[in-house]
Amino acid sequence: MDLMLILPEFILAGLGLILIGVDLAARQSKRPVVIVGVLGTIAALAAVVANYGQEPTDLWGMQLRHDPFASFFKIVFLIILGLVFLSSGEYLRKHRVRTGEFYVLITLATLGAILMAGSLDFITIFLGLELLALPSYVLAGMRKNDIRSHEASIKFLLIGAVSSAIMLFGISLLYGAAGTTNLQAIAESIPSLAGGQLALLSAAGLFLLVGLGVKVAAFPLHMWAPDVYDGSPTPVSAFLITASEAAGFAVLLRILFVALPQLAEDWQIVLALVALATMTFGNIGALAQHRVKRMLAYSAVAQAGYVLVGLAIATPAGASAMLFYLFVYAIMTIGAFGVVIFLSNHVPADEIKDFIGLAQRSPGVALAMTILMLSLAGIPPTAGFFGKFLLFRAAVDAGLVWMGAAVVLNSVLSVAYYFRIIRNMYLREREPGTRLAAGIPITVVLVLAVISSVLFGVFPEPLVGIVSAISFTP
Amino acid sequence: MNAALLIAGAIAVAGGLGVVIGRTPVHNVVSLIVSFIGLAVLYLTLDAEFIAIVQIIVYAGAIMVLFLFVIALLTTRRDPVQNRKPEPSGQTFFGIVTAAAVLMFLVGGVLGLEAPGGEGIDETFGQVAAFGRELLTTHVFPFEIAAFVLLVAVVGVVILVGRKQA
Repeated sequence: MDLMLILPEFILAGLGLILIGVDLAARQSKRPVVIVGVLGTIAALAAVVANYGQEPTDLWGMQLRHDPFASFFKIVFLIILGLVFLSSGEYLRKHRVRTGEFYVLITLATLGAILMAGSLDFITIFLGLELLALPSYVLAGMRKNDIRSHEASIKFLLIGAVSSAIMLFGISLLYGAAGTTNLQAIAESIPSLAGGQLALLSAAGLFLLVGLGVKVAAFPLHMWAPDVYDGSPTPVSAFLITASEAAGFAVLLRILFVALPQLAEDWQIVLALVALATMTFGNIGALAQHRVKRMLAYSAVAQAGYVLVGLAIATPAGASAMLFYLFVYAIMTIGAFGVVIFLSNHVPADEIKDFIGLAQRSPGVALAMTILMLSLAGIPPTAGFFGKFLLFRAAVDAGLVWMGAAVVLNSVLSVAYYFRIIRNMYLREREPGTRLAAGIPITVVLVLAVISSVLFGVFPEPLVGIVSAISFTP
Repeated sequence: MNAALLIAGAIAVAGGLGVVIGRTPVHNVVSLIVSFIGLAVLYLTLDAEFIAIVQIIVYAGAIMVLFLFVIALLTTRRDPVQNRKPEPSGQTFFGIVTAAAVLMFLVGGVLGLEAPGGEGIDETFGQVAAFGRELLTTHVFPFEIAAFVLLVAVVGVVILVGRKQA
């Protein structure tokens, strides 16, 4: 067995343990925690990239799978972790969140996400899911003097526990029918199943879709999302919207492409309607919001709807478009939340009207936010536009023209609320306040997010080449 | 064997219903213990002796007793929970109909199964030695991940109940 192939997991697990010690040692300033966190993330990222080209392999008694699909998601998760590390330092200090514990939990949560994407066995997938979910519940409640944070935590815990139980029930039904928890072995056993076993199999599919539907906040299982994303500390919201949802989609893709390929056909119309309802509901919900994080939360529901289009198409082209979209969406979202974090470090920044006059007070940050909002809305030539274009093309190629049309109409709808922030920053004046200067870590995050939002829109070919080379069936 | 299975299953379901219906926390916990004991007997009928013992000692014995202590410490009054919000009309009905439909589908599926002959199951199945060997060889990786899940739970509890940061 090649230990090098699971080096990223080892580094991340070690990083989680080391951070506990570093936090204990760093009594005055918490800067060492941030530095160790960022360096560890970069080391893990380097290990994933170095292993990228290796042959697909099963590791640790079939419990882990190394293939380009898993490596791609690992890269996404580690980039998210690094950006969250960089953008959160000052926020945690200002809002009295415990820095060390925050970094430990978010590191181990990322390890959980990586295990979800990197396994073809339901036992490891489920433990990864719990390793991601348990720290998320705590992270959501880490602003102890904010009642919204308490609400987010308890709501997330209750909904998360129920959805985990539903998913576990689905897994147990699948195990009962197929006699194994390995996704490939399940697929191999399906042709020999008969009668009652097939009924159990489709029931298992239903439970798995519902359980994971809650995790990715698909309509009508999205009710918890706006409250949790609004109430959590802002860096946590950014992490949950990007990493936690992407991990859910990774498992859904594995189930639909590896374990239960016929499920995608049987459920195509249901998934398509769910995608349609999710994006429409998210966009209409976002229009009505006046709190900025709540608006971004509804927009996250809408974006999950776009990604679900790729899942409903269930062709390799659709899945590749999903990967492209998940990647660029994660970076744009972290950037947008980075701006919210920046603003809330200096002034109260809960409401959309708090953005009024930002162009005067901090022109650079306002410009970054504008580009990120344009990208989230899907205006050419941004990465967000190209991602939606790929989904549109995949939907049309698969004969689902109405799904493609729904994506286009919904992005038009979403322009309304993204432009409200841009209008507030540039077109509405307020009494001149002090200029706000961004610190180095936040600047790095914003610059990286803006550059990728533009770069992957103007030159998407390299990334498209990578995602279309990924095979979804082992 | 079959009779034991049915009786134990009925006890487990009855205990579960007691957890949902009971209004006093202590009654809920005791119902859960009853349900766990029913489950343990079910495990025994499936030849999973080790799991059955663990179910009794760890869950029914240790964890539920801990639950009882917590409830005894937290609830000073004996009033049952009453200030429940009324459910939206139709919610209960819709919930019952959906649950019944799913249940009938599942029961149909289970009744359509052919009873397995029991081949491929060796004599050591369910014993501690076989269980431990499996846990520390084939499933050693998930076993270690479970350790991290527990670590996260410990850190999380310390954060949630710890004092506010000054």
